[in-house]
Amino acid sequence: MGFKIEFEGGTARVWRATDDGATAETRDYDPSLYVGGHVAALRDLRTALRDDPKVAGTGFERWHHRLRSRDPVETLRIDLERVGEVRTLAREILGLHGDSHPPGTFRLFNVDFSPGFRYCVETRTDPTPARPLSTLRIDLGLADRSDGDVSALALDGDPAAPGTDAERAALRALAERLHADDPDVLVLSSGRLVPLLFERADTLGLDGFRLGRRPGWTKLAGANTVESYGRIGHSPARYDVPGRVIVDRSNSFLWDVAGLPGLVDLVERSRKPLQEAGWASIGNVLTAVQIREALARDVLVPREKRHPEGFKDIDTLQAADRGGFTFDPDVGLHEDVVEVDFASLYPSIMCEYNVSPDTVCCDCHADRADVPGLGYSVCDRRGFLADVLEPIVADRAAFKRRRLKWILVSCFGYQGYRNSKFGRIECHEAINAFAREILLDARDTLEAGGWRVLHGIVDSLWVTPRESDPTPIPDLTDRVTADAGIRLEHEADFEWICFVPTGDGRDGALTEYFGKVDGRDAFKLRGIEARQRSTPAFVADVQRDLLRALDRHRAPEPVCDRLQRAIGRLERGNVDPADLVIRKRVSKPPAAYTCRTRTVAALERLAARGIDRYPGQDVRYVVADDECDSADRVRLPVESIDRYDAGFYADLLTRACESVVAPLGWDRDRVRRYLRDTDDVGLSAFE
Amino acid sequence: MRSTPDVTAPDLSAGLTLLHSPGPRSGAFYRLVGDALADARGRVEWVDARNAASTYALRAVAPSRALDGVRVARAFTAYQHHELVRRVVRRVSPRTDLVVAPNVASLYTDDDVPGHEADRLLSSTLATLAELAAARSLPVLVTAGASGDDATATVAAHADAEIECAGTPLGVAFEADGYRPRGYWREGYWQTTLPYWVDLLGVAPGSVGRPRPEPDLEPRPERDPGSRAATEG
Repeated sequence: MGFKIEFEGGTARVWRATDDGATAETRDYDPSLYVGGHVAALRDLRTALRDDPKVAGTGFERWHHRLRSRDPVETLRIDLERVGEVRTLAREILGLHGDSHPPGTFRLFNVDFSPGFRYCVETRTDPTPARPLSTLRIDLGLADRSDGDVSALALDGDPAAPGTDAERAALRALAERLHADDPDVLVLSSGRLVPLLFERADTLGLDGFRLGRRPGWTKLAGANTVESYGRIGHSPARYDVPGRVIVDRSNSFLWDVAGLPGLVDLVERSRKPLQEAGWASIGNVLTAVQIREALARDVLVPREKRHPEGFKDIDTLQAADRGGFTFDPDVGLHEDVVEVDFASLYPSIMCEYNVSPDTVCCDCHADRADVPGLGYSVCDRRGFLADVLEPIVADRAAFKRRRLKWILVSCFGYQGYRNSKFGRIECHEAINAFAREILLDARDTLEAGGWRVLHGIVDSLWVTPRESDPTPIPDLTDRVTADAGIRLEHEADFEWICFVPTGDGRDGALTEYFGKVDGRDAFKLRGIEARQRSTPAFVADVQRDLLRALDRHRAPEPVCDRLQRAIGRLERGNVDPADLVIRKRVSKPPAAYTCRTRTVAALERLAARGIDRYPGQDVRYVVADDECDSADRVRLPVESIDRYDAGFYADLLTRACESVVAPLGWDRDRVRRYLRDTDDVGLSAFE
Repeated sequence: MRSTPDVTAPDLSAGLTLLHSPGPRSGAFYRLVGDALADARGRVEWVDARNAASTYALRAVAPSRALDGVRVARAFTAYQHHELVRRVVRRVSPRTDLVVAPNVASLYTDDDVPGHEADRLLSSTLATLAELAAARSLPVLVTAGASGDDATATVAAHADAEIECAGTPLGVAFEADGYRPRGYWREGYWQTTLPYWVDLLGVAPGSVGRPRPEPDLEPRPERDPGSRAATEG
């Protein structure tokens, strides 16, 4: 039970939470990596490493190198003096030592573990805290931080030193609070506060200032730009203080979705210590859970995935390449609609149908065609993914927790992801094939029960009665559940629902719809502007207002009347600029932008204030004059905003209106024509 | 007289042939492959990278009968690619007619392989393919598919033959030693060249051995029954 692990030289310092604080224990620790290859080459390597000062010891052990392997293989274990040198040695083995052998001779295992996680899995230490952890939130605004001024420091949301603007007072208040409350976790608005606070304390001559339970701080990693699933993200530098966990809120997806109790739950499942779980992505936590399961099965974790897919004929390739099933949505407004969803469809397939990298296309049942449409076999032996996912699926059924849902969703994606340690294309294909089959069977059952399918995507179906007295939905969901072995849930009843056409108006957009929930004053929205993160609050509010107009009148004209009214407010300057803020993600460094976009204008204004934004971070701005191609095109929320471009925002409103009336057959031109031809706003605009 | 030209791309001979194609999934590559598949009677082993084995593209250029013998495996990392090439060596049999490896160097330039390791792996992959081609007298067709000149040069160093191709206003034009284009493939129809008509109908006296011809929009073939018989013989 050590909730925080730190490394110094060849030792690990393990912090345990006690009733009255925390205590540290220092232990010797030699981390290990493993090398596979033919035994003669491994013996050469062992000899070559004898005098390497990084190496503490070596030995031969038998391990599985793949999930599907039947017999363990002789493998060279190399113990290191320091955890920070694992990757260095790995590089040397491949380069320096590997050069005298054909490429690919040495295969490395257990290389890319984060240090705390490595310690926990290698020494079987449970990083779950022994008691609830106490936290202290420390915030400083972006502008103050870039100015290096800590006087406005806030502790748990309140000014540290109210009534004064002295930095010294703020730092003293922080030090007193740390001493009095002795928090286990410091939740920082940005990790960069760590060096800043120490630097200011030093400059102002505050002796003995500390954030940790011992003096000092360290920088664990520098900032860098990372790419994940094709999306650019910014990973800020990571800092550490002794005895306390740092959570950097600017870089913790999981803190946002799960909070401290959720993070601790993930610590328990993944064996990643809290600080590492805090900055991990969902995929990273999932990988940790998989690594634990693999090691428990005596399977080592390859440094890189070498195992390729099998050779396929063109027909199989084509069948396997199809993704999840979709029915083309029936564009328009439909009344009396029911939505049914499979609960955790893809993870449930992995559990119920035993689909896993080690079971699909197994040699022992090669004559069987278990996967529909593909003819792959699925082994009877219990699969790796079922063991990984079953506890999560079972828990989610009870709690429907968001963070668990994310893990489950990622697990499917990871099967097809090129660098996933335990992914396998055939497994990904088999899951899709089962999912398609299950959705098609469900459609057949619903149609036979007197319902018409309006739309279906991946794990959800929308149906409306086809006849006057159809079989009740609960009877049909029970029947489908029994057939599929996966629960089909009655998700929602809609008084009406609209499926939105694609931009060219020819087809239905797969993931854009909105509907009025039956019996409640609530709408469910997907894909349209009010759901998009970049949409300004004013535009989102107006779009919801348009939805209410549609709900009352079920016709496009009254909706456009409301639009007309909102545009009038804009043009009269009656909208608070704070409600017009647009949020955009920076996708590349400022120098890489070749067009003078609004984002570039915002970046320039930020730079003028000494604030850098990196790819993956957000910029927020209000459009002041869209015709202008200098930095004057926008204003920042921190500036006093003297004007906004009413024409630009009117255009955004018109687009938002188009989404609402497009299902009724009105496109943007039709909306504009109506606005032009209607001088008098109809009565419905004033309801 | 044949009504349509049936050959426009160079025939592939035994050995490692590098097609310099303008993009990772260029029309020129599919044209060449389509012809080679149509000629193949036995098995074709295809080591794929960057999704060149799109079933849509393959069905567009080759009749389904020609695809029956094709076996595809896709690599997503350099390590997988290297492993697949080693497997192809074990899979090739006397029935194998062709090995195809589009974008053969491409995955080795990805960030997730350290440069030193990537260079060694790529050289080993290419040497394996070249040796396979030589030992089995088998055509092996590759494109480099790498953005950097270095990787392309590495591929070229292992290749027995190279085919240039370029987009021209008349379609894709191939160029290789001992090959003169007889047609330019365009979207849906053929733009013929003089050599095509020469092949089909014969050569005008005195015209043999002239430099690579410019494509001719309105061919005016010479009719000389004597040399026609000679070229068809």
